[in-house]
Amino acid sequence: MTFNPHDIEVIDGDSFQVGSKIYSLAGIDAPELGQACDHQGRLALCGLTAAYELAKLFELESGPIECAIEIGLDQPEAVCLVGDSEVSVLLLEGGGVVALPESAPYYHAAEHRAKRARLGIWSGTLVPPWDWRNGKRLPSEHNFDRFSHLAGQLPWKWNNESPQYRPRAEHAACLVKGIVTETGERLYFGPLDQEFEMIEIDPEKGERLFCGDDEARSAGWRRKGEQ
Amino acid sequence: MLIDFRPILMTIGTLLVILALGMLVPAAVDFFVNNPDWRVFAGSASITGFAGGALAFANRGGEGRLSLQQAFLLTALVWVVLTAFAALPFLFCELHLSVTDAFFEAMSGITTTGSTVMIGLDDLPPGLLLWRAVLQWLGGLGIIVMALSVLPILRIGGMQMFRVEAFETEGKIVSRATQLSAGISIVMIFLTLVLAIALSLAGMTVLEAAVHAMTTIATGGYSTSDASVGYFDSALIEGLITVGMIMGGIPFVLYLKIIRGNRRGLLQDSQVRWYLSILFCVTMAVALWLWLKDDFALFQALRYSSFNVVSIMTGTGFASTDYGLWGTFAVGVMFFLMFVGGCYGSTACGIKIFRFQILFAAAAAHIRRLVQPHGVFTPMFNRNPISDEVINSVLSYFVMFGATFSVITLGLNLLGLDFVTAMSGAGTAMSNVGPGLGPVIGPAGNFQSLPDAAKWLLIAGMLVGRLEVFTVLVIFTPHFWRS
Repeated sequence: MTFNPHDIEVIDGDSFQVGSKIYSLAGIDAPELGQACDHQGRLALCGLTAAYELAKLFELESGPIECAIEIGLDQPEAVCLVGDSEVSVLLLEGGGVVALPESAPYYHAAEHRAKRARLGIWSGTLVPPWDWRNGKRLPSEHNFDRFSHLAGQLPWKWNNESPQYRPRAEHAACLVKGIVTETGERLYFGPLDQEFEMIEIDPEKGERLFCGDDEARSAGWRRKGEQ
Repeated sequence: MLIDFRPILMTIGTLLVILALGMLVPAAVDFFVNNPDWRVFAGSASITGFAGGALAFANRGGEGRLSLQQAFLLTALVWVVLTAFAALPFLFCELHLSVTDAFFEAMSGITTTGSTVMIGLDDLPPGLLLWRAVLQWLGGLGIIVMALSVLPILRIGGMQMFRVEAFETEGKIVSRATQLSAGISIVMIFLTLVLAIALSLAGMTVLEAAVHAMTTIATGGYSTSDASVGYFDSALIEGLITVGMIMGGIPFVLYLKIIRGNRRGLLQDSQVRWYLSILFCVTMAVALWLWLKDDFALFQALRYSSFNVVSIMTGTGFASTDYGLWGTFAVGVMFFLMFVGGCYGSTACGIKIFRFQILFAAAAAHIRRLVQPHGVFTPMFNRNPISDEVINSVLSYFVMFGATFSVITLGLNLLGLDFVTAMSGAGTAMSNVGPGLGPVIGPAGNFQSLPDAAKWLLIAGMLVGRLEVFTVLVIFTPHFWRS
């Protein structure tokens, strides 16, 4: 399947939307959007960074992007190429994402190269994304006082006279906004979506923040335009 | 004999005050858009201004003649001290970068390198984006002034050739630099304004146009978007920036000459002719490769080739696409191109065209001498004979540049980085280009993911490269302190 880079909307570090379909990149798992990693003694929003890195890869592609689509567990899995290189492998070599335990050996080899050079998330400690989704956190992620400075790493409009947009203390940074539309549709938006900055969460309408797209999907929220 | 530090500290103090004034620009913009970072910029400006003012005031009367030792120390120290103060906003802004990251970003800015540890630029507050651009603009201005007033006197890497062109006599370096910086500043402001207006008309917002105009003329390469100029996906914008980058790589003294009525000077300069010829030939070669081998349409091949070739050769470091994916020949060309650089006396970095001209002229004379051992063959530059001292100086520069490049590459290898990342990282730092090659630090990568030790090695590389290698190395020799 061929995608025009302009049609690709990156959701997080390992998934993207084209039209009404959502795809997961094969072989990898990215830290969740709200996930922080310990980077040489400092917390960093590695989930958000992974999303920006994927978006940059697609944005800098001058031609159509070839992807082979396979059936996945929750969503279709995409093996995408930029030039002669596979997107998942490039992300692994940059140290922004982790290889899924059951993925092919060449994904693990790419991850090993990043680990050996202590690149990105491998320069410190992180909770594997699959454990993070189950509620496991770094000890420092529970400590809001030490974590609050990360609010500055979020899109800046958040901090401008909008204290309600700050990350929830108990869940650290929860960067996915779930809204309820006029027609009762439940939609979620991440920091890379254009609508994100404009959305104000109204808890009385049932709107809420999520710490990752998986959490939003499990709770019944969907992407705009998704079938 | 003890070195008199007063003139050095006085000059550094004065430059710190200028840096503090530069910090007020992002402070004003952030205040205007109600971003709390304005306090950080205002606070940093106060600290920098106070430190600079105190240094200048305490060492007043130190201006005037600088000895050779003092000139070397001043040149090396000023870039380190200014970088340390320029890093303050990065340290204390809402991003709270680590000391290593803040120093890296500031050094990359002030040396007009353009490698960044920041990601999510599209969502950054305007003050920070503007500060990165102001840093590169001031760094670009600083390097021209330094190249014309100080480096010829230090006789580094063949730069003594430009002694006459810059100034007639040695002596009052500081006062001459002050005179010169006024003229160069006017030219830079004019070029930046014209480019900013053109970019704005081409579809950029005011902030984007201002940032890109500043970082283009300074051949710096900081952008407002993670995807650099590729974000705009506009042939017109790429064309305008290409022209701006080419202009940034031309000796600024020639623009001053044009203002004074010498309109032919630009094309009569052999360095400019070589510079434009190399750009044209490499652009065509890469475009041909993309057209024939990489399935690009002819116009697309020319568009991407011209922008990225100019960006890399001038050391700007913008990217309109990931040229690391262009295949073997094009990637090889991009790697070697990053070392070439622009003309002497421009904002561009790298080894610089005149050194290749001297090397070529000396090699040509040597080859002729091999054929006719009794013949007299004098290598020429701009219709003037090149002295043996200049040739030796240039050859020493190549040797030391290569040695430093090898040491940094091996250091990065030692830290576990692969060969492509290590070699292109060392090259891009020493030539002050911006992106390297490969998935880690290529156009689609980011320097943020590197370990801290690697970042410090690259910081050293940026400084050594920007200061023409010898300026830094010489102060680490015991002889320098004994003489």
